[in-house]
This record gives sequence, C-alpha cells and structure tokens, in this order.
Amino acid sequence: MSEREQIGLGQLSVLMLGFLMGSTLLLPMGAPAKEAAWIATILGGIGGLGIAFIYTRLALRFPGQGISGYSRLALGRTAGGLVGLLYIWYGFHLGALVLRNFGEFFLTALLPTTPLSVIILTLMLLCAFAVRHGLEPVARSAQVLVPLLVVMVAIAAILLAKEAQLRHLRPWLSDRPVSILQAALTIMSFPFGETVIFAMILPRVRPARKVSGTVMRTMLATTALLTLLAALGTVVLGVQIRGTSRFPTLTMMRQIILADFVTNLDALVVGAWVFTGYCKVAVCLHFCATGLAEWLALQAHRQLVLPIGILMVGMSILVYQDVSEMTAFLNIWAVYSVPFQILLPLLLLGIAHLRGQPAAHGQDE
Amino acid sequence: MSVRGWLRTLARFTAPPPEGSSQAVQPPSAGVLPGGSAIVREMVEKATTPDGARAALDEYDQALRALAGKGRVRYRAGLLEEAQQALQRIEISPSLGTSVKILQELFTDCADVIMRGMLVGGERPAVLIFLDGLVAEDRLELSILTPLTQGPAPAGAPIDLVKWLEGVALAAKETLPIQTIGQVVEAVLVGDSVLLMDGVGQGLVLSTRFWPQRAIEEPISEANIRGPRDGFIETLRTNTMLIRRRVKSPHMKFEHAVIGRRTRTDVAIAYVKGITSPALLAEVRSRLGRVDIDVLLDSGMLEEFIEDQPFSPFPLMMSTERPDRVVAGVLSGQVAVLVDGSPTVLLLPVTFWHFMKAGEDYYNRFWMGTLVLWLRFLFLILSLLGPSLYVAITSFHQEMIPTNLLLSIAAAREGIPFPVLIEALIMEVFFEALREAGIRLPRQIGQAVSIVGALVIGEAAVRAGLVSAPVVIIVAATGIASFTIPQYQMGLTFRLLRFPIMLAAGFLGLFGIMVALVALLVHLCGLRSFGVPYLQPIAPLDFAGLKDTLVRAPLWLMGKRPGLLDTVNSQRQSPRLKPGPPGGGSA
Repeated sequence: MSEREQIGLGQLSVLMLGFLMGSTLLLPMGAPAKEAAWIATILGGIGGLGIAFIYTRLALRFPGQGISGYSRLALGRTAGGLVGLLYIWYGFHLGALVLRNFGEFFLTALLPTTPLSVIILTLMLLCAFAVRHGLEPVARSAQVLVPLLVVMVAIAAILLAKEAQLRHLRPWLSDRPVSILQAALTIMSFPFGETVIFAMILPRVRPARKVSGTVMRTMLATTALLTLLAALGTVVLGVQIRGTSRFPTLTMMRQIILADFVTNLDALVVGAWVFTGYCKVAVCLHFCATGLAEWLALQAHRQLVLPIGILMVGMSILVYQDVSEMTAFLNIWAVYSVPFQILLPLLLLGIAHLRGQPAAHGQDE
Repeated sequence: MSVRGWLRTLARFTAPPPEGSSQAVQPPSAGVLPGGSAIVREMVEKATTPDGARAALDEYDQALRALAGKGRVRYRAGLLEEAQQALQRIEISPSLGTSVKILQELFTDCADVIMRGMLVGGERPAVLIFLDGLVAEDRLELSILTPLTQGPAPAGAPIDLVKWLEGVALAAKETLPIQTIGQVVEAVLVGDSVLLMDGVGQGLVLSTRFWPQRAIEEPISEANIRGPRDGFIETLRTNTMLIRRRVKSPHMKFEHAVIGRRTRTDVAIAYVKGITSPALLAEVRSRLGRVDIDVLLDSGMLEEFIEDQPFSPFPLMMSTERPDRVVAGVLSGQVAVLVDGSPTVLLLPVTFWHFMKAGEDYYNRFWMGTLVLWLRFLFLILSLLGPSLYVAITSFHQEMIPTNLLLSIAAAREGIPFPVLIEALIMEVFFEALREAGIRLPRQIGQAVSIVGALVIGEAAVRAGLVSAPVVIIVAATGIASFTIPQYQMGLTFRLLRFPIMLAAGFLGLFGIMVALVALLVHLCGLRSFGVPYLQPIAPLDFAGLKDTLVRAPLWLMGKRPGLLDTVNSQRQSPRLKPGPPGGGSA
C-alpha cells in the first residue's frame, strides 16, 4: 500500500459526509413517513450507527485487511472468497445505481436533450480519473468540496426560510407508526448502511485505532444534517408535493427567489450536486477496484479502475427502464441490502469472535 | 496610423544595416591559432608536444566528440568528467613553449582567446592568457602587464618564482597557483587570466573577471508600489550579492554546482542552515545532480528537469525576479536555485497559494493585504470561468438569466452566425493573439497593434455582426481578471485551462463545467512540489497555515514558519509582539 493510499481521520470524515449526502439529497428520502420524515431520518441514523459499529469492529479486529481479506480469514478460503466476491458485486451494483440516479437527475435538471449515456459516461470518466490518481487525492478533493457543499446547503436553507410553513409538519404522527418505522428502516440502509463499503478505505486510515470514533461522529453529524434537510423539505414543499416529486430537493431549490433578480438558481445549485455524485461514485469505484485487486491478490488496483467503470456505466443504463422504476426500487434495495449491511458483517464478527481471531492473523495468507 | 506609415515602420525593421557593412569580416580560414605576438610564435616553433600530453589530448578530443554523438566512443554518463580529467593529467611543462603549444591546440579557432607574450624584467619569457572581453582591461594592464614588463627581473631560484610573482611583482586582487593544463583552460574560460612563465612548471591564475552587465532594475513582471524595487540580473554573483546583502548571517549558504555539458553553467543552491529541512535539501541536490544536459540557458530549462509531475500545466516551483521574495522564501524554509545567466530564480517547494501572493502584500497593512488577496481569488475564478459560464448559461440554461437581461442578450445576438461557443472561442483566441503580439513586437509597432486590435475587436467586429457585444465584454473582463494573478506563470496556466473548460461548457453546460472543475481539483489534489502537497494547507487541512493562506494575518501573529516545509526551526519571531499604546496596554 503506497503512501498515496493513506488518508487521515479528517479526510475519512469529509469523504463519508460527501458519500452520505450523495444521492440522499436527490431522492425523496423518508417520503412514506409523510410529516414524520425527519423522525424517520433520526431513527434511520441511529440504526446506521449500529451498522457502523459492526463494521468498524471488524476493521479493528483485522487491521490492514480489506473485506475479502477478513472474510477469508474468518470463513476460510472458499466461503470467504465467495463472500468477498458478493461484496464486490454489492459495491458494483450500488455504484451503478448511484450513477443512474445522478444521470437521471442531471438529465431532468440541467440537460434535458442530452442522451443519458453521455451524462453517465462523463460522470464515470471523472470518477475513474480521480480514483486512478489514488485515494488520497480523492479524499483531499472531498476536503475542499464538502465544506463548500455544506455552506451552500446552509445558504439555501436561509434563503428558503421565508417559504417555510411550519404547519406542514403537523399533525405530528398522523400515520401508523409502522410506516414511520418502515421509512426509518429504508433510511437505515440507504444511505447509512451503504457506508459498509468503506470497508476498503478504513484499513487505509491513520491512526487506525481512532477510526471507530470518527465514523460514529460523522454518522451523527450527517444524521443531524439530513434530519434538518428532511424537515426543511417538508416545511417548504408540504407533504403532498414532497411525496410526489421525483427530486424533491430540486423542486425545493426552485423556490428560491432573491430580490427579483436571482431566480431559478437551481441550475447553479444543481451543479454542486456533481460534487456529491462524484464523492459517492468514486468511493464505490474505489471499493470495487481495490476489492477486486485484493480478491485476485493483485499488487495494484489502478488498471482495474477503468474497466470496472465502463462496466458500471453499462450496468447503470440497463438496470432501470425509467425514473419511476428507480424510485420504486428504493424499498427493494432496503431488503436487498440487509445481508450485506447487517447479516454478513455480524456473521463475520461472530465467527471471528468464536475462533478467537485475530490471534490467527496472517496464517492463512 | 496610415498604411504608408506602417510600411515605413516595417521597412525599418527589415532593411539591411545601412553603412559600415561594407567592411564585413573576412570569412575565417580554418585552424587559426590564438596568440599572434612575436615572442609566442617564436617559442612555439621550437617546441614539441610530449607523448603523454599527446595521448591525453586525443582522449579529450574523442570524449568531446562522443558527447556530440559521433565518433567511436559511445556516449555515457560521466564522459565529460573523463574528458576534463584527461586535461587535468597534462601538467604544465617548465618549458613554456610546450605548454603554449598545447593550449594553442585546445583554443584553435577561438578568436577571443589572447596569448600575450612578454619578457619579464627584460629577460624571462612569459605568456599571459585571457579571454578578450571577459576581463577588465584596465586592471589587466595596470596591475599585471605594467609591473611585469617594466619592473625588475626576478632574482633567485626558479622554485621561488611563483612566490616572487605573488609577493613582489603583481598587484592583482587574487592569485592562485595551478599545476595542470586543464586548470588553465577552466580559469581562462571563466574570465580569469593565467600567467605562464618559462622555467616555472606552474601557472598563476589572476582574477581579472569582468564583463558588461545590465544594471539592477525593477523587475518587469513583478512590479510593486511599496517595497524594494531591485530585481535580479543575469550575473550569478550579483544575484547572490543581492540576497546576501539582505541576510547578514553565515547561515545563509550558497552551494555551487555546474550544469550543462557545454555551457558549464554555474548554479547556486541557496538555503538557510538551521531552517531548511535537510531532507528537502538532499532531494534538491539529488535532483539537480541527475540533470545531464548540454545547454542550460535559463532557470526555466532547469525547471522542466526537476519537477515532480512533468505533465501538469501548473508551475511546480516559483520563479521570481525579486530578491526580497527569495529572502522571505529561504527564511521560511524554501530552497532557492539560482542559475547564472538567468534573472529568474527558482523557489521550491511551492503550493498553489504561494502564487496568489505578491511581495507587496506583506508591506501594506494587513487589511489591504487580505482584501487584495480575496480580490485575486475572485478574479482568478472569473478568469477561469467567465467565458465558460456565459457559454453554458446562454446555450443551456437560459432560464437562469433574468428576463430583461435575456432579452437584451437575445437582441445583441440577433444575426450573429455562430453558436455562442464558437463566438467566444474566436474572441478568446483573438485576445490571446493580441496579448502575445503586444509582448513580442517592437515597442512602436506593439502600440499600434494594440490600438488597431482593440478597435477591430471592440467596435468593428460587433458592428459587422461577427460577434455580439456581450461576448466582447466577457472576454475583456476575463482578460483584465487574468492580470490580477500576481505570478505570470500561474496566469499562463489559467489562460490555458480556460479553453478546455470552455469546450466542456459548450458541450455539457453547467454540468460540463462542474465536471471539469472537479477533475481540475482532483489533479491539484494529487500534485506535489518536492513532496509538498500542492493545496496544503487547505487539503490536507492544516489550521495553523490558514492564516497566511485565506487571509493575510498581521505579521505579529505569524510567529511560526509554515508547517508544510518541515523546517528545522519553526519559531520565526518572539510570540508576543503585538504592539500597543505606551504603558503596555494590551500584550
């Protein structure tokens, strides 16, 4: 692992923040919970903390190992290899979905007459360019971009304040609690649980023993931020519009009017969404490339980046027919993710615990 | 200006020189030996070259030919040193004729080498060898030639002759006895004179270096209002003097190196011992050590051989003409590389933010310094994105423009045959050409070109319906914005980068701009200058460094040297320097 593949705690934190903000800002998050979307977000965030607890334990138990490294250590060569491969698939699938999300989003918001494939390909080329540069440049660029993004969200929130109507938040718990819980579970897996693919990045963070705390703190901060955004979306748009809009944040941004001169700022704000899309796709791509390199016991992962990226583009175009399918898939995704986010990490952790690992660290390699 | 006036001015620059050209120089015949004086001719006729010297000369010749890529010997590293050593093996013979003959052979066809024969004290033959034009003639005549030719003859054993020359006969500033022909050649080529005397078997180097040099002037590319106005010139020694005069400490070091197989250019590595990180210094030395080139004319040529990432459009070291800037740099832990013959000094390592600073920022009040810094950031963004944003918004996102403005832009664009992208590209290219022409053309014409260019571009093109007025405004604003970048090289980089971003904007609108910007950012994040991350202290983040990056903090707050240079000694000044009213109100 070269020096350029190591990052610091602060860098991990911003990278994760960018990843979590990623597609979450686009899609109607927690919409089934109606007025209580923000409560669902908080619950989801708490669930996410649990997931993060499991995979950071794993990373601490097997320092310096990636996902297929420790699944092989825990489960043996064959079963572990299979689990590693499954995870690579999961990262690949996630990357393709995110790519499609952003592609559709830019198509709708900015470039209605451009072919979808061109947008997706451009975004992927950007990410491949970045990942080929190494993890450190990606993390550093996140260090520049994420603060900018947070500032922009804050400014947008201030500008939207006069459109806000607090009555949209009432009645508090109008619906069945089950639907809130359902929404919370969805949010737990998307976006919070998806951070499980940071498994390839965590062993590259220094100092390693503080990783767990940083991940937890980042999760908490993001939960707060997303809760605020969910609440803001609800008070500005109301449950009706927010529930039916494909891209509620975009709809919200369109409300900004400043001094009758700054109107339709959405294009500019939407441009900033390239940042978050970049963060998320780049992390997925990095996960796949390094994961595959580890699985195949290759020295370098750089040659794998572009081929995987191109495959991801193809996958992202094939995966949905249209936007409605995309929105509908969110619920399935939550179920589909459960083994990757909860079951398999728990299994690995349990077996490692029973076998007293990492005492046997390194004997298998 | 009329057409005829134009032609006349042009003719002045192309016509052959009027008079004096008839007495043109005769075409020189091959094999002209230097030293035409009677004494020299006579002694050379009698002399023969010893076999050892002959073999060494052949070896030297062969090595030099291999350097040029011809001959039987293949080029390899260290060949030049071997050639030099071959010359170093030839000792100066006690028989003056032999030495002079060898030197004549080496300096064949060097019309500027003079070998002045004389009889010291009227009896002992001697030869003074020097390069015409590279020595101080009055010093040579007064302190060397006059005492030797008109003074008394030496009395005593030949072994003492050198002592006699140094102690009694000569009034030269510096003297140095030498033993080999190689040393004679080296000394002569840098402008010293060498005195060889019959029966001595040694030579005497006399320091007579002098060459015409430009006066110390205000740097053209880095002018300022407040602060010192002197700039570096082409002479290395003068440049080191300009630095030394500001740092009166024996810790200010100038390490010497020679680069360039043929040009043998002197290079100085300047640093402050006890501040500069030893690892950085070792890295600089090793990178300079592996530069094995033929010609070194300017520090810019050196730059390309010692960069971290040779394909980046960004400058990875600072080149400056200001001594105060170099001094500030070395005292904060940077290393400066001075190249003889170049008025620009390299400062390294640098970060992106170094290029946003002018020396003046630290001489003005910190409020002004900060304000100007922010202004530069703003205009940096404008110079990079101005035309691209216009192209993207007018061709993809018209809804972003307020209606009134949209109407006037639409009216201005009515009848324009090109798409906005092409229109903006045409104007940008024209503007770049105008700027380039303004620099290269002789001053009288340059002015005319800029006037004509401005008229043609500003007025006629719009009226003829080739481009629209808003594009002219945008391009002009961008042009002005790009001049606010205090470092010329960084300005060049941004001039270059504007074009790909414009293309991205033309094809993919704001999305394209953002993608290009993120790609640019990733590139910047991956850059390193001598191991230092280019965007430090922003990414990787270092809070202590921000006060000299995003703002220009008051000088009394900047107690520490920048952390990114890993300096040996990080404390710059006393920690509690904040001034206040008498009585020590607020310390």
